[in-house]
Amino acid sequence: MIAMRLITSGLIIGALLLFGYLFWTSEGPHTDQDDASFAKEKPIILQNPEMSDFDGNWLTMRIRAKTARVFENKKKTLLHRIDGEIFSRQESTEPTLLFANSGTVNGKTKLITVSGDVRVIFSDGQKLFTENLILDQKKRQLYNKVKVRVVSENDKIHAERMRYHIRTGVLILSRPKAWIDTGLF
Amino acid sequence: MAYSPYIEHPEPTMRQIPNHVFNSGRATIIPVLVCLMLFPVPVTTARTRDTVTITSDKTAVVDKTKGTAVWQKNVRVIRTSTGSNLRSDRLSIKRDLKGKRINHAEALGNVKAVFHRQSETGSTPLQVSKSIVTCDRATFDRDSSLAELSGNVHVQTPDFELQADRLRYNIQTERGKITASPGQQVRILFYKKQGPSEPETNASRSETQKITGLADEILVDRPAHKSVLQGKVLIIDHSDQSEFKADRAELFFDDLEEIETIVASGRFSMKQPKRLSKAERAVFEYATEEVTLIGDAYVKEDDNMEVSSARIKMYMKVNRGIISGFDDVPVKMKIEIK
Repeated sequence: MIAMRLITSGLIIGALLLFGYLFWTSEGPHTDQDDASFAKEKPIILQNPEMSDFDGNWLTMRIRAKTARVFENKKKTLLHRIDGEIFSRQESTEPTLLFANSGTVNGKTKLITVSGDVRVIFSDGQKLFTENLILDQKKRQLYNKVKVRVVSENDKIHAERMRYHIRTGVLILSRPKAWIDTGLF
Repeated sequence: MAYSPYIEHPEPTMRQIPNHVFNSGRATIIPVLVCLMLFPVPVTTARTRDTVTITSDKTAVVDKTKGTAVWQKNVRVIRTSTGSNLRSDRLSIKRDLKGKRINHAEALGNVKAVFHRQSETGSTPLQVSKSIVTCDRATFDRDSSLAELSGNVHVQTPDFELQADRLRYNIQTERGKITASPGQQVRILFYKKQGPSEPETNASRSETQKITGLADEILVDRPAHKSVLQGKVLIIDHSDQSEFKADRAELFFDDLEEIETIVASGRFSMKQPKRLSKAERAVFEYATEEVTLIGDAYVKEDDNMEVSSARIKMYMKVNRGIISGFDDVPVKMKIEIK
């Protein structure tokens, strides 16, 4: 009887741990660099690569890196020292700039995950700082679920996570706290 | 003759609508309390640096193309230097597209602003007064310079209370309008100033110091040093249960924003203990504490003496009695001899 209870308890705990693991991995930005399976494939290494993405004739984004390791089988590219530009449909609008220490381009999902000292400079000059960020090329969104800091000339906003719609220019910050300098009102 | 021109009465009567109550300075501070939270630097004065913090339990949605930011769920705004704060369900701010200035702000749902104001005059120590404003919606628009509070507007300061449905105030022209919802009246309540020997405390503020006013609407015109109460105006001085009614009351202020003159017009009537007055118009002169009743003027005093004329001048205090008619206007007096 006791053994049955232990087994049942063990199963429940196991299920919870599994759920927690799955939930966690699907929530946060995935760092493919840690994936051991990368070691099995020998990558193509590129120095100072530049990648461009087009929607028809429209250049939607351009990403540069110091180095890139391309894993063809996995359709993934690991980037080091990234800077990029995300272009608006409107030519008059300045591009959104993106900087990060490292990143992963997933060719299947069209997700670019960047991490480490991530900085975004929006077209209006507002800057966003965070540690992890995902660029969804299909949905044309930037998002994350970690803390962000948004800074502009007149104010500063801290938030728990963010989502930025590139097409519409709408930035959604969760549980925000802002400091606004009234001297510039 | 039972008539004495100086009837003694223990209490002063309808003399005081305390001067500070309708003073335009106070009246003007009310509508801008909320916008001061967001726009602490007046449009026309020099800028001082300060910080405002805004937090919310849900999201801030920043639309970069429109220059708007919308804060949702339990929004709190705190002005760092004074601790003045604002709470609402939702707050939206619109900046100009260069992002430098806020052009429009709206606080919506359960709006509550607590405004701390520091004052230091002469040798008196620093005093902090607290004002509380609640309403359903508060807006400020820079282009039109219009600040507006609407829906269950309630303003409370240490010596003043206001209940209305809508309050609109133009910060540029310094003119505003306070109105009630249909079938209701704007209600104001204030306390008489206490003398220097009686430091103001909550305990010392009793019913007897209270003045209540009702009107369909109140207009504020600061450049003209004037406020107008109109539509079934009723002012009650709870200290002596005196009250006056009129269709309209215009209040004029001096440079110190103290009441100089009140002109009440349209079916004016004033009840004071031992005195009833009626006229088409009444002019209250605070410097001399005199009231001039104009047009079908009538005064009944002590239930046994009636005076009627085209014009009657009398003291505001009943115990100082009636002064006279005017040289060019005959006075008709009726005295009941018991």
